[in-house]
Amino acid sequence: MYGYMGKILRINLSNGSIKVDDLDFELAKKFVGGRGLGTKMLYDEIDPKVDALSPENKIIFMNGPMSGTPTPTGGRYMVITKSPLSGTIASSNSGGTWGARLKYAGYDGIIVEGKADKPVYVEIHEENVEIKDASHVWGKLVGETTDILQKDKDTNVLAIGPGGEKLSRMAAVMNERDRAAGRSGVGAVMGSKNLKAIVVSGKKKVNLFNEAKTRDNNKEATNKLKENPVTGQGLPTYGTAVLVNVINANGVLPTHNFQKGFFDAADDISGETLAEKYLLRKDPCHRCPIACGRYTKTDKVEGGGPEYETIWAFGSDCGVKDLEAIIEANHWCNQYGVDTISVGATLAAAMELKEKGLLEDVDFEGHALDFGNAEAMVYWTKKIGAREGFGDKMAEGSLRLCKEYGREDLSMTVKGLELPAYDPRGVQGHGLTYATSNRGGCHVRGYMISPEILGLPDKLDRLELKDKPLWVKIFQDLTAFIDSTGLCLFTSFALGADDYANIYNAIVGTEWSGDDVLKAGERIYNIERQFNLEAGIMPDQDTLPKRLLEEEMPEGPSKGHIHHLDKLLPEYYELRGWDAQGFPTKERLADLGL
Amino acid sequence: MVKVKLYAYLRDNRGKEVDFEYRTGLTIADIAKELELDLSDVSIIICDGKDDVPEKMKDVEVKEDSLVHFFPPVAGG
Repeated sequence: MYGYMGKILRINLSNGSIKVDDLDFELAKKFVGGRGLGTKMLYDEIDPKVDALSPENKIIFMNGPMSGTPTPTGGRYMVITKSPLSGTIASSNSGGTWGARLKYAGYDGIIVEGKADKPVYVEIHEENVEIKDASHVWGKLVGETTDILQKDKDTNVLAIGPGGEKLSRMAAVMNERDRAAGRSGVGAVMGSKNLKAIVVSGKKKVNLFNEAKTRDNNKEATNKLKENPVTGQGLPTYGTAVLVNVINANGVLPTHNFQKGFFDAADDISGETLAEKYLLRKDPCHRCPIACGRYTKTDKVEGGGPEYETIWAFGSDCGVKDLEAIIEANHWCNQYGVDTISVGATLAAAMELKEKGLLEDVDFEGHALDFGNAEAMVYWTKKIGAREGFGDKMAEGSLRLCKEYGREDLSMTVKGLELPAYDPRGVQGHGLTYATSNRGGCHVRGYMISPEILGLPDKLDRLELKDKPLWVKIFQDLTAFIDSTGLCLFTSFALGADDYANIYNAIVGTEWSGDDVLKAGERIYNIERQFNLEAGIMPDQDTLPKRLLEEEMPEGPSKGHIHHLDKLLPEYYELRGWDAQGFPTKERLADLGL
Repeated sequence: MVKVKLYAYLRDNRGKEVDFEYRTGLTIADIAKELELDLSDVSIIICDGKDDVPEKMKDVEVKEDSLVHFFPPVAGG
C-alpha cells in the first residue's frame, strides 16, 4: 500500500479499548483520504441523527495520502464529526505539523468513540498507545497544556482549551498551540468525550509508489508555487490579510454585522499594516514553500496569526479599527480554543442586537458591546472562551443567541454556521457556495472569490449570474478532492486538477486524470449531502440570511445589489444531478458509486 | 483631481495614495506610466466601481473625480 500507512487507530473512551484497524485500500482510493474518507467512515458508523455532544457521536482525525510525504504543503489533516453548532457534517481542516506526525507514528487516522468517565488524553508513540489521566491539564489554556504535554521537538500536541471543555459550540481543535481546526465546533465534541489532547510522536516513513516521479512532481509543483505571484510573493509577504483592501475596495467587506460592505478604516487593519507594525516572522506549516502563516507581537501578546478572516471578524464586522486589539482577540481565541470567525461574528450579532435595544436586560459588566468598542470586543472574547456572564450565552453561537432575543434574522449564518468575510450581495457565485456548502456558511468549500474578485484563474464579473453554478460546482468538487489529500487549498492558486492527478498517481499508484480527480470530489460532496439529509438538514436550508436576499447594499461599490440565489439554485441542482427540490437522484448516486 | 490608491508591494517607492491632475482623455494606462507601474505587475484594477484585469481596464478614460485602485496578484482565504 502506497501513500497510506494502512492503519487506523480506534480508541473507545467508554471502555478504554485501543485497536488498530487495517485500512481498506479500495475504499481509501474511492474517497481519497482526509475529508472524503473520514466522512465515509463517519457516515457508515454513526446514525446522522445522533446528538453531536453525546457518546454516540464519533470524532475522526484523518490524514490524506499526501500528508507526511515530501509533497509541498503535505501536512494538513481533517477533523470529521457531526457538528454541535450546525447539526451538519463537520470537517474542519488544520495545518501545522500534527497531521504529518500522525503518519510518522504509523497511522492514517484515529477514530475516537464513546466518552471517558474523567478527563483523559491519548499518547501515541508508534505502536505504543495509552489513554492517560488529564486531570493536571484539564481547565488549562491551550498554550500551557501544550507546554506540559510536549516532551520534545519531535512530539506534536493537539488539544482543546476551556472552550472545548465547556462545550462551546464554537470550540476549535488546536495543534502546535495556534493552528486551528477551527470551524463547526469540533472542539466541543472532544470536550464532550472528556478528551483533552492527543500527543503524537514517531519516525516512520510513508511509502511512495514511484519515488523518482514524486521527486520530479514535487520539484515542478514547488517551482510553480514559487513562480506564481500569489503563492510566491503576495501570500509570503503579507499573509492572507492582504485581502482586506481588495475586498473592501469592491464593497464586499462585511461591516457592522453585514449591515454594509465598506469599512472606512480598512487600511488600518490590512495585511500591509500588519506586516509594517506587528509581524515578527513568517510561520510556515509542515513542508510549505508558501509560508503565509504570520507570527506577530504587540505590547500585550505574541503568537500565530491573525488571518484575514480573523481580522475581518473582530475588525470591520465589529466596527473595530484597532489592529492591536484584533491581534489580542485572536490570541485569546487560540488560548481558549474557540473559532475566531464564529466568535467575532457572534460578537457582531450581539452588537447589532444591542444597537437595536434588544439587550436591555444584559449585564455588560462595564464593557458595553457597541460597534467600534475594541476594549469590550477583547473583554467579551475572553468571556466567551471561559463561558462566563453573557459570554456563556454567546458561546452557543450567533443563531442560538439571536433566536433567544427573537431576531433570528440578525444571525448572519447558513445552516447555523457563521458566514465568513465576504458579503455575497456583491459576489454572486460566492453566495451560491455559502448557500450550498455542506457544513454551512463557509468560504473554503468553493472559493469563488478567486475568479470573481482576484481574477484567478480568469476574471469573472462578480455581479453576473451566467455560468456561475457550473463554476461553483467545479470549485466545490476540486476543493473536496484537495481537502482529502492532505495538501493545502492554497496550492490551487498555482496548480490545477491535472497537477493533482499526477501527484496522486505517483504517490498512490493510480492512473487518474484530472477528470477522475473532479469525479472523486463530486463523490465526496454527495456523501456529505447524504449525511446531512439523513441528519435532517433539508434542502430548504440551502439559503442565505434574509438581509442578503432582500436588503439592498446601502452604500459603497456594491451599493444597490442583493443576492439572487433564487436564479442560481435551480441550475446548480440540475448540474449536480439532483432533483428540483435538491435531493440527489438515485441515478447520480449510482454513477458516483454511492 | 483623480485619486489613485496602491496596495501591497506596489506601494514601494510610490506610497499609498497619489493625486493626479485631471486632463481630458487621461487613461488608466497613462496613470500607470506616470507612476512607472508596469501593468504586468498589476492583477486587478478598480475604477469607480468597475473591476477587471489591466488588459480590459487600461484604455478606460477616467473622470475628474475618479478613484482608481491598483492591486498586484493577491489572494488568501
